[in-house]
Amino acid sequence: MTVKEYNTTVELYSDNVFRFILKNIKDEEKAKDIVQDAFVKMWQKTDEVEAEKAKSYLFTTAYRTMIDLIRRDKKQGKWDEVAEQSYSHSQQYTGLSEVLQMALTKLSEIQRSVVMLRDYEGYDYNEIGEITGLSLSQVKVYIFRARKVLKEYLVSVEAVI
Amino acid sequence: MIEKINLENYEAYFLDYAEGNLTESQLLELDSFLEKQPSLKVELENFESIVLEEEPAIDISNLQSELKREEATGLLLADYLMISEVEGTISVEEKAQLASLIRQSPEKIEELAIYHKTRLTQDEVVVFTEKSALLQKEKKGVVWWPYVSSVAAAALVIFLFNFSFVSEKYSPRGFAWQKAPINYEESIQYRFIAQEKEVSIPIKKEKISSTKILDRTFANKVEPETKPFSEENIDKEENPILPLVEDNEMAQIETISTPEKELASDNSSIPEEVILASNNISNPAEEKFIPIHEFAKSKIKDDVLKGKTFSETILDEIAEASKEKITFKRKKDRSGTTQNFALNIGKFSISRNK
Repeated sequence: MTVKEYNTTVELYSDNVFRFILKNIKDEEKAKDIVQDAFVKMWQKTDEVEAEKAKSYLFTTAYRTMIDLIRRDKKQGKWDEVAEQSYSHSQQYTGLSEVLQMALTKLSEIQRSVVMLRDYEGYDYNEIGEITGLSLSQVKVYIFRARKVLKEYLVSVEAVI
Repeated sequence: MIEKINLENYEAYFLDYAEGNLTESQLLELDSFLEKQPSLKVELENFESIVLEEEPAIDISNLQSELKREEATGLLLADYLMISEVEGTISVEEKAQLASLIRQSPEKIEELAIYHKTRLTQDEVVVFTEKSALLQKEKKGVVWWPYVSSVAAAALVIFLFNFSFVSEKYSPRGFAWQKAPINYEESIQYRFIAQEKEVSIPIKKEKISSTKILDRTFANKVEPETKPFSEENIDKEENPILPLVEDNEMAQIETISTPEKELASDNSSIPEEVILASNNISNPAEEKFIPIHEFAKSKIKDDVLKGKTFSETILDEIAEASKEKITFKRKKDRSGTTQNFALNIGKFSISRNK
């Protein structure tokens, strides 16, 4: 990967990786750190990483760093203390989007990750498996169960409304 | 074995009769029983009218896959099919199955619509604001031409300084033509000889560059002219023929006053360190095209009058051509032989130690 290609990946994918991490951990500073860490790792391996696989490399690196961070913070009991921050402009959300954002919090970490990779980034099951280290069938099961949870949340909200 | 027919067990006989499972002796028993109990004949006809439909064969493979699906996903068939539809992974058979389910239960359409709503939409307002910190500066490509030109210039200088005819021992005080005959038919060659006499020669002020020299031929054949010279100042071995100037110009140069750089004619001088430096870079706008012999004439004249040695003149020309600062240092021994030297042309440097 050339310097030019690296800089292009920064322009193209930094927002995506940041959004993916931010929606998972809901901590802007930590999300920035993870994104920077992912790009630093890619810069150090520009000789090995091909430009076509840069996006997958970034997501994989960022995802694994995030999982490590979550595990470490959980061990230290910090995770529950992390306050949700306002990291997006809610006025741009539709009602459904807001409800879905709430519904995402009902998912497990892995369910949330695979659904976001699927819907936001458009990865197929194989690619999600490469990023998360899951098998194809595991990815499918996590996504199907996540959809069921999201659907039940939407039904319950509609029932309340 | 069925007991003898009676009011307690006649239903079993009737069922076996309807299914055709009674033997002849049992049929005879049934007839004699109905003669005694004629009211049960109607009941027997009712048994005969019941025809059981054949049960459909159970597809075990489908059952197994459904069990697997439920075990794996925890989803009922309807949910599984609807999520497959949302995910875009539904097969043709599954699509038909889903359509069948919706026909049986139309409320499933609403359920399917809710599943479609579970797809997350892009949220473009989340932007990573520190992209600039991630961007890397592109490395500049190596520009080779200055190095190539420097190497070429260095090679030229080394050639000139290692070639016997270039010597710093000549005294650039004047020029004269050697008496020795020269074959001008083959090539025009001139001798560069130190003179004791002094003459004043007008110095050309015009700046001339060797980079624009086009004509490398000596068009004019020139007859040598004998000029007086001092024999003791001429070292024929160390001041060989130099193709520098034409005789008509040299005729005017009886002697040239050079206040500095008197070269020792004997070998007793102490080792000296000669330091030459040149940063003589001309303005291209002032350059003009001249034949090489014209250039050589004027250049040598000018430079010698300025007190420059032949080496300095050459370095000036290389500096002009390469646009680089040139520094040359060398050290001689008592015999005047160069012991070591160091040449810097721009970023390029070369040195030699004997």
